[in-house]
Amino acid sequence: MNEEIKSVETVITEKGYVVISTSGISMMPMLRDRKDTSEIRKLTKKPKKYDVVLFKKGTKLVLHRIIKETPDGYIIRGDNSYENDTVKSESLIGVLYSFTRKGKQHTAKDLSYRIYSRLIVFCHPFKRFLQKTKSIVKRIFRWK
Amino acid sequence: MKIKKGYIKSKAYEGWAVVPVGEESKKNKIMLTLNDTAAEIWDMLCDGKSKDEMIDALKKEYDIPTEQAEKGITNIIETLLKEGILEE
Repeated sequence: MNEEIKSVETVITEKGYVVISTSGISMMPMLRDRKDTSEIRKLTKKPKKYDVVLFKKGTKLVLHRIIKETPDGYIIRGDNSYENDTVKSESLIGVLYSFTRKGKQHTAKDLSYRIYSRLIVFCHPFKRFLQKTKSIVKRIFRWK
Repeated sequence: MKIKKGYIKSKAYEGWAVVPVGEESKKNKIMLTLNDTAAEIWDMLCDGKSKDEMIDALKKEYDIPTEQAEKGITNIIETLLKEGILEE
């Protein structure tokens, strides 16, 4: 049993993995704020599009999805976020291996998860359009 | 003894991990790793089993003497108490 309190980064480096609960809503609906747990493993190979990676952003650690690879770095975004980050491979710390939601473990290899990750990236532009439309409709009804 | 609210057991690479969630995750970033036996003890603690009940269960399952079962359980209880995950 490991009794030591270590930082996420140190644990990944030493043990090869870490299990954490993430905060924030940027990976909703997959990961709920401080409710679900994610197993992050040390990178052993080059991550690819749709992988969820842990990276350093200033003094914070962020767990978001790769949506594109460019010569400048990976374009990474939260499933429920509209802000992209360009991240160099040296800033990547680990990759999501599995997550446990409502007591059920899902791995990144599961077919259902792979379908979900592709759909969430594909539907992203429509989601933004739908949200804008919804907000316009709400404003119209409020005005009436 | 009972497990403090805000800690969950999750499957991990080498066995199991105990991770703080909700409000506890704001105070504590600790990840405790558990092997399969420790995970069983965790489950029994969650079920509110007494130390004697846990000793009996381990003796039956692993065919080990009382002292060995008690030592294993005591070690885990002490660690959980030290980390503030278990309440008296």
